[in-house]
Amino acid sequence: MSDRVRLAALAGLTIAGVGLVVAVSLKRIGTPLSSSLVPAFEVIGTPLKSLNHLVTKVIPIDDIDEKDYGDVYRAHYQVEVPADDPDLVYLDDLMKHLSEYARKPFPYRAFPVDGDEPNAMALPGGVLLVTRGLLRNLGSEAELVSVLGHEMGHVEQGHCVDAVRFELLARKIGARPFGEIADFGLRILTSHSFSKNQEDEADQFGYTLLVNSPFDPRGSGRAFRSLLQYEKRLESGQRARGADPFRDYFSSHPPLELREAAFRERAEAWWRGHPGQQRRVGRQNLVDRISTYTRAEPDSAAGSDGVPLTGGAR
Amino acid sequence: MEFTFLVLVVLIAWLHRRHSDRLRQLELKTADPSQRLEALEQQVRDLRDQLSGTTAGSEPAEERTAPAAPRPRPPLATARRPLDPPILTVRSVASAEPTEPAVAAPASATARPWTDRLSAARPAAARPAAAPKIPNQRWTQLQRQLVENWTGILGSAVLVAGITFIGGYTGLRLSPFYRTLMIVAAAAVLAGGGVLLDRRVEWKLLAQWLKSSGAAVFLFACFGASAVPGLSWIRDLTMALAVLLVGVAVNLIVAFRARSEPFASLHVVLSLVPLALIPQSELTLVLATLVAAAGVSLSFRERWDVHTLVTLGCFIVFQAAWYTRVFEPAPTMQGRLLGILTTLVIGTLAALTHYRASHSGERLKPLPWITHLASWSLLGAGLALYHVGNTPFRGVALIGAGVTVFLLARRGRALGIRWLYLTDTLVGQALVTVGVISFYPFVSNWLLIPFLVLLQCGLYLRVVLDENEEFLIKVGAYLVHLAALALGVCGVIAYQSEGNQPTEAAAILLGGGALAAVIHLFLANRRGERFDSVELYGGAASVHPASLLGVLAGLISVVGLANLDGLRSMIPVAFGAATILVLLSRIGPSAGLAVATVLVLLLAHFWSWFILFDQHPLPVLEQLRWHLGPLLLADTVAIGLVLGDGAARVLRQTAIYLGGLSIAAAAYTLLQPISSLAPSVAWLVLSLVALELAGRVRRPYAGAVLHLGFLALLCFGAGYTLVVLQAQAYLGPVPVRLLIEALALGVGAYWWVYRPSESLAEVRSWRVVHPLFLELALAFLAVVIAVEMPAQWRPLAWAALALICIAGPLDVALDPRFRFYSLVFFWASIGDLVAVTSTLAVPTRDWYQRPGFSGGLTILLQVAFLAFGSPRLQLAEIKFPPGLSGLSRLATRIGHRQALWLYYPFFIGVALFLYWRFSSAVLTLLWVMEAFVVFALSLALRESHFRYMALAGLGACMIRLIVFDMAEANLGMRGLVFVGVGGLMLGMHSLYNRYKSRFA
Repeated sequence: MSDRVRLAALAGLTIAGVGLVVAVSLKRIGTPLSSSLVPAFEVIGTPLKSLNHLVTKVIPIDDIDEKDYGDVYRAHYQVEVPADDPDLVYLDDLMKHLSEYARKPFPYRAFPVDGDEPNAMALPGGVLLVTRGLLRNLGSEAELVSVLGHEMGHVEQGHCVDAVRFELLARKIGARPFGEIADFGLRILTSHSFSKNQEDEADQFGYTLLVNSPFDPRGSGRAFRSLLQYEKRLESGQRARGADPFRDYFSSHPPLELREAAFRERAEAWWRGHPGQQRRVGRQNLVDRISTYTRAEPDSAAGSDGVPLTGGAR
Repeated sequence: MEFTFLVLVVLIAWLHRRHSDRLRQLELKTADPSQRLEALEQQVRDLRDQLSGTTAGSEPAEERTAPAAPRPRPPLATARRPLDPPILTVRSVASAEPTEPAVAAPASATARPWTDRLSAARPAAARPAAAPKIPNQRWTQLQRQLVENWTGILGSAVLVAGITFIGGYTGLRLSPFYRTLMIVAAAAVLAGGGVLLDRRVEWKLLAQWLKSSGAAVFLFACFGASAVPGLSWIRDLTMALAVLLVGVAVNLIVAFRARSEPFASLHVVLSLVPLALIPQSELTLVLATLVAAAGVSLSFRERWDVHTLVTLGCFIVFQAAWYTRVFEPAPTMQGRLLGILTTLVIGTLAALTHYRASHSGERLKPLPWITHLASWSLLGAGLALYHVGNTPFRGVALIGAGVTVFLLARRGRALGIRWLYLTDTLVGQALVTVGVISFYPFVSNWLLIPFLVLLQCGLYLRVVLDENEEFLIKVGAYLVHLAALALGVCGVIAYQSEGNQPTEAAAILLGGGALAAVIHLFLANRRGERFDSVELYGGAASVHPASLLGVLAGLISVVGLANLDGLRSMIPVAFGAATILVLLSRIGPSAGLAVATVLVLLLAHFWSWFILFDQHPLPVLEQLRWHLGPLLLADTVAIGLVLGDGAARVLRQTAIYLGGLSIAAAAYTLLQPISSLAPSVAWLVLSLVALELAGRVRRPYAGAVLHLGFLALLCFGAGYTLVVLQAQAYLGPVPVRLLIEALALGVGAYWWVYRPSESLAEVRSWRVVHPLFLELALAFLAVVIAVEMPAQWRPLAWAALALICIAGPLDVALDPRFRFYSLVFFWASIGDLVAVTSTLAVPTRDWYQRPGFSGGLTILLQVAFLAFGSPRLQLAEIKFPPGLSGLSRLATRIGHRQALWLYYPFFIGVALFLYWRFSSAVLTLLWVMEAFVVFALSLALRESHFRYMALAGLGACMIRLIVFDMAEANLGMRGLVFVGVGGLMLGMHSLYNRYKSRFA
C-alpha cells in the first residue's frame, strides 16, 4: 500500500471514528445497562445451542412423539380450567389465529393458570401456560400476543423437546425414569451455557410473529417493559447493575432491560420503514378479554408515531 | 567496723586479682619455648666467654647420658616499678647474673648434640656432683608470689585487721576521741613504716603497701570521727566534713604519688566511698566531682585508661546514687544544673585525656576506645538525665555538645590520632542527632524532626566529604539513607494518623524529597552515582547504577503526595514535584532521580485514575484541571526534559505508558457520561494514532507507543464485549453497533496492512503480534456476523465470506492465508446450515424470509465456492506465522486430500438439509438428484470414491423408494417421485456409457 493510500485510509478512519464519537455523543446514545456480559455469553453459546439441538435431531424422536407428550398436559389442563373461563376463551381465540404461524403440526392451546407473578411457559407438544398475573400486568393485547409468540417460539424452535428428548426416547423402550434422569443431568450441566440463546430465539420468533400479525410490533418491547416495571416494583427500583460474570453466565434469561431496548428499537426501525401502516394495540381488548379477531371494531390502533389512531385506550 | 571490713575485702580482692594476672602472665611467658631457647643461647654465649680455653671432651660420659635436667627457668625479673609485671627480658637477666648456677642443663643431652657441647664446656666446679633434684615449678612460683607479693598484701590486710581488732578492743576502754587518735596513730605507724622501708629497693613494694594502708586507715579514722558509732566524737557537721576532707585529701595525695595505676585507682575509689556514705547534699556531689576530677586528671600524667575507666565507673555509681537519693525525690533547678555541670566536667575531662600527643599515630585499641566512649556516654547520659524539662535547652545543649565534640575530633585528626578522630566525629554526630530529636515537643509538626535529622546528616556528609575520610563518608551515606528512610516511614505514619495536617505534612515531605535529591546530587558529584547505589551495601549495581538516595527522594515525595489524599491539589503538586525532580536530574544526570520521578509519576497516575473511576463521573472541567491536565503535563515534562540513558530511558518509557493510559482513561471518564458507546470508538481512533506514532518515534520508544496501541485495541475489545454488544440504538437507518463494528473492522484491517518503519519492525511485540492481525480481524468479523445476522441468513453470510476470501485480490495481493480461512468459513456455512437453518422456524408468510429460501441460496453459494474456489485453494503452500504453526500442518494435510475435505461435508450437509427441510414425500427424489450430482462429479474429477458414494446413495434411495414411497398415499406424488428417480437413473446410465473411458 502506498503512503498516499495509507494516509487516505488513516484519515478516513480517523474522521469516521471522530464523527461517530461526535454523533453518538450529540445524540447521547447509550446502552440499557452500564455493562453486561450476557450478549457475549450469547455469542459464545450459539454453537453450543446448535450442537444441543443437533443432538435432538439425530435421535429417533419426531413431532408425533412430542405431540403425544403434549396431549397428556393438554388433557390435564382441559380438566383443570373450566371451558367457560373468560381468560381461556380469550386465549383460545387468540391462539386459533396465532397457530397459523406455526410450522409444527400441534394443536396449540394456551391455558390460564393461577398466579400473581406475570409469567408464561411452554410445554412440549404446543401447550402454553399463562399466569393470570401476566394478563393483569400486561398493557395490551399486542403485548400478550408477543408473549404467546415467544412461548410458541420455544415449541417451534424445539427448545421444549430438547429438554425431554431422552425421556421421549426412553418411553419407546419402557425406561422413562432413565430418560428423565438423562434429561435432568444434561440440563443441569449444559443449559446455562445456551438457555439465554434459546430465550433470544424465542424472542425473535415472538417479534417476527408480531410483525407478521396485525399487531403493533412495539408490543414486544412494551411487554418486556411491563415485566420490567413489575420487577422494579418488587425490587423498589433497585435495578441498576453492571456486569457480573457469575450472574450473567448462570442467568437463564437475558436481562429485561436488554430485551426491552432491543425490541423497542427494532419496532421503531420497522415503523420508520412502514410509515403508512396501521397496527392493532388492543389495550381494551385485553381488559375486556375480547380479541382483535372477534371484536368488530378495533379498540386501538397505532401509527408510526406510536400514538393510537382510533379508539384510544379505553 | 563495717568500713574496716569493707576496706579489707576490697583490698584483698583487688590484690588477689592483680597477682593472679601477674601469675598468668608469668606462666605464659615462661612457657614460650622460643624465649627459653633464646635465654639458653645467651647463657651459652656467656659461659663460652667465661670458659674460653677450656678443652672439650673432659666431660664424663655419664654426664652426657645424665637424665634430663629440669628445664631452666629464668629468674623473675625485678621490675623497674614495684608493681609492674615482671617482664622476662632474658638478655638483662643473663647479663645481671652471668654465672647463675640455677641455669640448669639442657632438657635432653642426647637429643640435642650442641647442648652436649655446652655441658662439656661448663666448669667442673659449677657442675653439680649429682643429678639435681627437680623442684616443683608451681611450688616455686607460689613461693615467689607469696614472698614477693602476697606477703605484702596479706601482711597489710592482717595488719589493718589487727589494728581494727585492737581498736575494737580498746574502744571498750577509751573514749571515742582517744579511739580515733589510736587509729590515727596506727595509720601513722603504718605510713611511717612504709616511709622507712621505702629507702631499700627490696622493700619498696612492701613500703608502698604500708603507706597505702596507712592512708586508708587514716581515712577510716577521719570518717569514723563523725560517722562510725563508737568512734564518733565530732558533732559539728562542718568540722566533720572538714576532718573527712582531710582524710580524702591524704588519700588523693597518696594516689597522686602512687607510681602505679592500681594504687592510684584504689585511693580515688577509697576517697569516693566515704563521700557516698555520709548524708547527701549538693555539696557532696560537688566534692565527689572534685575527687573524680582529681582522679581523672592523673590520667593526663600517664596513659592510665583502666584508672580512668574505674574512676568514671565509680563516679557514675555515685551520680546514680545521688540522683536517686537527692535529686529525684525533690528535683530543683540548682540540682539539675549541678548534675549537668558535674557530668559535663567529668565526661569532658575523661575524654580529653586521649587528646594528647602521646597518643599520636596510635591504632585503635579496645581499652582507650571503651574509655573514651564511656566518657562521652557519661556526658550524654548526664545531659539526658538532668534535662531541664520540656524546654529547647536540652536540645541546644546536646547540639552544642555534639558540635564541640565534632570540632574536637578535628583536633584529634590534627594530632594524628585517627581512631579518636573517627570516634569523636561519630559521637558528635550522634549527639547532634539526639539533640535535634529532642526538639520534638517544640515543633509545630513532628515531621520536621526527621526532616531536620536528614538535613543534619546531609551537613555532616558535606563536611566529611571535604575531609575525604572514606569510613566517615560511608557512614555519612548510611546515615542519610537511614534518615531519608525514616522520613518516609514517618510520612506514612503521619498519613495514617487521625490528626494529620495533610498540607503541612506534604510540604515537609516534599521538601524532604527535594533535600534528599540535593544531597544525592552533591554526593554523586563528588563520588559518582555508583558510590551511592546498592554497591554501598555490597550489592552488584547494574550498568546504570541508580543512587539509593535518589530513589529515596522519590519515595519521600510519593509519601508526601499521598498525604494530600482527598485534596484536589494532589495531582498538580505531583506535577510540580515531578518537574522539580526532572530538572534536578538534568544537573547530574542522575539515574536515581529518574527512578524517583518514575515513582512520583506512578503514584500520581494511579491515584488520579482511582479517583477518576471511583468518583465517576466527575465534572469535565474538574477532570481536566485537577487530573488529566497535570498528569499529561507531568508526562510531557518527563518525556521531553529528562537527559541521559539507562534510567532516564525507563523514565521516558514510563511516562509514555502512563500518558497513553491517561489518555485512554480520559476517553472513558470524559465520554462515557455522555454516551456509553463513545469510549469504545475513541479507543479505536487512539489505537490508530498510537500506531502512526509508533512508526515515527525512535527505537527504544516505538515499543512503548506500540503497546499503547495494542492496549487501546484491548480496551475496545473490553468495551465491545461489555457495552457495545448490548447497544440496540440506531443512528439514522443503521444500527449504531453495526457502524462501530464496521469502523473496528476498518481499523483492524489498517493495522494488518500497515507497513512498519525500520525501528518499529525491530520491536519484538510487533513481530509476534502483527502477523496475527489477519486472524484477529477475521475472528472479529465472524463475531460480527454471529451478532448481526439473523439465524437464517448466517449460513449464507459464511458462504459469501468464504467466496470473498478465495477471491483473487485478497489471497494474492494480501495473504495466502485467506485461502485456508475461506475453507473454514465454507465449513461454518455447512455447519450452520445443518444445525440451525434446516429446522429453524420463522413465523412469516413472506417466502423470501423463510429459511428454505436462505438455505437454498446458501447451497448455491457453496456450489459456487466448490466450482470456482476449490481449484485455487492450494492449501499445502500456505505458510502461517510461528504462533499458528499447527494450522500449517493442518492445511498441508487437508491439501493432500482436498476433494475429500471439500465435497463430503458439502454433500452430507445438503443431504441433511433436504432431510430436515423438505417433505418426506419428495425426499427420495431429492436425494437421487444429489446422488446424480455426485456421480457426475466423479466423472469431472476422475475420483472413483465419489462414484462409489453416488452408487451407495442411489442404493439407499432405491430401498427408500420401495419401503417408503411405495406406501405413499398420494398416487400422483408417488408417480412423480418414481418418474423422477427413473429419469435420473437413466441419466446416470447415459453418462456412464458416454464417459466410460474415465472409469478405466
